[in-house]
Amino acid sequence: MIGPKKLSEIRAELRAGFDMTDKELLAWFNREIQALERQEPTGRTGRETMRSLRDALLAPAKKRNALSGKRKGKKKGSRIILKGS
Amino acid sequence: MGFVGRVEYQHAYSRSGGAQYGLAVTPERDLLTVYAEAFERDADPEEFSLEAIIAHERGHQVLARHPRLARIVPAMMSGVTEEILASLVGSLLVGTEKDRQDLLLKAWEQASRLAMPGEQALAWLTHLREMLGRLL
Repeated sequence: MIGPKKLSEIRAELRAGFDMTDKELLAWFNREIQALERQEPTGRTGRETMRSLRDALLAPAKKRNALSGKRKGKKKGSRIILKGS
Repeated sequence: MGFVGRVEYQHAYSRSGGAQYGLAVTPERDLLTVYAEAFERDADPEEFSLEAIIAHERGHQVLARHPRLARIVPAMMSGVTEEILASLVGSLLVGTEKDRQDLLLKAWEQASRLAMPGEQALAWLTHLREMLGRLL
């Protein structure tokens, strides 16, 4: 179960765990990513994880496929008509 | 997402956050129950998408059913540990950066419940996800 806690609450709680400004935190993440790049056994997934966590906290990606968004993009006349009812 | 088994929709609200995985005797009988709030969350641009919610549940199934993972992952682990692993596996299955970020945040939040400092939790999650990525 993913649980009922809102994503915004999760982000705020995790962000509060770092007593740094956004600029300092960004620099810290970038140093960690550089350190991972220097470590031989760490592969692409490890660096991708750290990058995604950095962005999740500081510059979250936008949802593109929300149902509301899909509805907006729906073309006129694309409704399904049930025959014989 | 690759879920194997039965999928049910319940037009009801649960405390699950949107979906729940049920382990059965065989994979074909496993049950994924999706609740009404999954669609409400999906419609909110600031919330988990339906894909992320289902990927997390598929993560539970992979942990239970994947031949290599099922051998390595201990049968008796805490609920928190299982939720962390399910989110990490889910983050490897999703197709968008937004869903990946959201599932990683969920795993991180769960790891913080283990009284692990934020920086240590990050290093642990990074290592764990790397290992899962190699196994899957």
